[in-house]
Amino acid sequence: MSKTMENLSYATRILGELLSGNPVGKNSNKELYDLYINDTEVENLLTTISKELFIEIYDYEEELFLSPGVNNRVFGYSNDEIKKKMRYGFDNSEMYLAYFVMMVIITMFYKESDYDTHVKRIRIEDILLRVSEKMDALKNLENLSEISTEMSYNFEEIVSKWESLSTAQMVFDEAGNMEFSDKGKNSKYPFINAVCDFMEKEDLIKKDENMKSILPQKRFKAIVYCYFQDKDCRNELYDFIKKLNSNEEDL
Amino acid sequence: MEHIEKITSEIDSRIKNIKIYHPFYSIYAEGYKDSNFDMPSLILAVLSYLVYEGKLNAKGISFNEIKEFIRLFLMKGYAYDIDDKQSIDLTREVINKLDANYSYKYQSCNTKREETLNVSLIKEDIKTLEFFITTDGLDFFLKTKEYSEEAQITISLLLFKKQLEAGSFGYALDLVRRLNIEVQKRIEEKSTILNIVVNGGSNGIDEYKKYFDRIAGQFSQEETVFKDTLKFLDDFYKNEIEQNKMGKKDKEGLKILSNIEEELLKAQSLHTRLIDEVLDMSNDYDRILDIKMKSAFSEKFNFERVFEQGCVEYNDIRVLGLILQPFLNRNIKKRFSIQKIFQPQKVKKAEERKTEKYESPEVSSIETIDMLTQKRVENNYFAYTAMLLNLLSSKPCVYLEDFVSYIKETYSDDVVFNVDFVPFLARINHTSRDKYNPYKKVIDIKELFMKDINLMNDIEVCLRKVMGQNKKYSSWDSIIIESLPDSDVVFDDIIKVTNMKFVLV
Repeated sequence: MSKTMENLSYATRILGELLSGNPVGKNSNKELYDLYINDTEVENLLTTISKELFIEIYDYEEELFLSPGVNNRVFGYSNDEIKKKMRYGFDNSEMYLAYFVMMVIITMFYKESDYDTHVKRIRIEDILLRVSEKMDALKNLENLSEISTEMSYNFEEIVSKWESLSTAQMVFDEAGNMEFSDKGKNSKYPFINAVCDFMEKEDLIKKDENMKSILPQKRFKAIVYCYFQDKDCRNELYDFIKKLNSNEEDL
Repeated sequence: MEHIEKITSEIDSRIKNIKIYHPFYSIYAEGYKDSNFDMPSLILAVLSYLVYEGKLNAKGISFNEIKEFIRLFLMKGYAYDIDDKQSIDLTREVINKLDANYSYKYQSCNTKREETLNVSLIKEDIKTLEFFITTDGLDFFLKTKEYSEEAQITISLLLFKKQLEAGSFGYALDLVRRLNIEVQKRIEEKSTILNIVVNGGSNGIDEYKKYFDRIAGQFSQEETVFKDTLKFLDDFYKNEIEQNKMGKKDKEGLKILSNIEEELLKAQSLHTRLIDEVLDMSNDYDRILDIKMKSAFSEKFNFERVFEQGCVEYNDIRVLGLILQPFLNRNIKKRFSIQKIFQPQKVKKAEERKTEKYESPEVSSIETIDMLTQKRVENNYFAYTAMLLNLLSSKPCVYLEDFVSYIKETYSDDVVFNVDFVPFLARINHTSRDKYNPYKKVIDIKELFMKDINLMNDIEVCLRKVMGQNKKYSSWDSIIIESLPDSDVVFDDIIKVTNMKFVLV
């Protein structure tokens, strides 16, 4: 086997591991990671194959991470698949509300893309407060309902969805103490909890149940830094946003 | 003004040296509502626990271990007993304070601009969710009792040598242990320095150089002292043991010496690790500088701005969906493969099948909007009732304002605008209309539990449900609900409600 063919085999093995959800880095699959780091041909081949499959591979803090990028019809999720992945099977407005909550979480960790975040943990209670603040700000927009009548994908719908949720559901623990219920999707606190569960499943955050808080995972940091800091990726994203506006493509 | 040059040049390093005190005094300034103990002391106690139990044993400490420690510390230190719920809440609060990122901002005399120093006292391992003291935390902790940082290692080493010579083996053992903490601190300092290199502008390069100088200085000091110590130990063994000159005291000393030897072996392996880490550090340093170079010339993606734009300009929720797509995992759609039927299949044993039970499919009813609304109202009424009773358990006479402040504090200020809140107040006010006194109603708890649930109103059902679930309400006799028509309560200048008084009897 020629050297290039051998390297092609290594590159596809790395891709295979990543697609199977196995880590490739300094601490696991080290042999493959070393090949990627030390042999430019392996790196180039991997980049070429992944580009053809519309996926991005990032090397962040000595580990490789994979992202399906935007609007990936092969490896991306459809809206229906995302709804099913949410713990309680979300409907359309709940899914968009979940997006809103996730976006709030991202902005709580990062104001703008950077190598790392200074925020070590966020309490779920604080997410609830921040989402409520954002919803209030939206509600107070004078022209929100005016604009909303013109567009089918408007924020008024998620504001009213949020408003329809009760603040919290109280339950009693075994010792008879009153506490907030963590489960369900019909109250604000459990809803945020369900969104955090989804983000944990996507390896973006880690939930600390004891501390009732979330911590950012390496994959989350990798995507913020490598995807959003990259000019081409950013332009691709802006293009899609523009297309949304001109209704050129249904996404 | 002859010292002006020197003073100006020293200010930055003086600020850096005191940054480790910033978290402690921030916590002190915040204060703490519970007067039964002192929060700053508790913070110091938890840090000590993380050093003795965690750092010295090279292991992380779990939330539950910290919780148990806090409970024992309050008991021992303040004779203050707390239950499990209180200790969970307190542990969360203590960890949140210790784990927070404290930013110390100052105007630098060197760079002539505002600089930020970030300090946090503990960190959490994202995989194990265990807690560790940080280098800054350890630095701060050592300065609360031990020697000043600059001379710490040198003084420790000299003392160690002197104490061995004087036969104070116990103290010498303590010192060598402390030395090991110091070496461990140096190892972990690496990540702090790299963090400064990532975030600290030009400061990072200075810190990186200083770190190398410190390590080199430490190695040369230790080389001399350890050489002398080994010579001393060698002589001791030759003179005292081989010539059988040992008394009872000497034999005890020998035991401590063997512990010292053990600690010195630990010190040796720690030093080897330190050398490895320092060698690795130069690679990390180059890598970070490379990233910084790239970052300096690349435009950043402003999440906050795009979020606002998505909301206001486009008014299109799908913008959020697009931004989130890169964050999601790859999606592999699995399909059934016809070849699978030719693969060996695992056949279940007959007896396993016997245990399987047929479950009849549940008949699901469709939940209408009315049913959902009813459920929401019930949940909210239940929560408000539980909050009211909880407040009454701590304060036997409560006015509507107290109740509102309490729930605002628990939930948020906008709780009064919840669609179910005002109706709840109206319902509870209605409950208070008695035929003899239209403004007062006495709810007899025993009677409440005797009454047929179908004849109760929704507030009575909530009261019974809440009281039935918590034993602490079992001793209550009655609750008086009185409406005060002459006084009104205004919430945030928008909602006006007749005042009420709730009295526990």
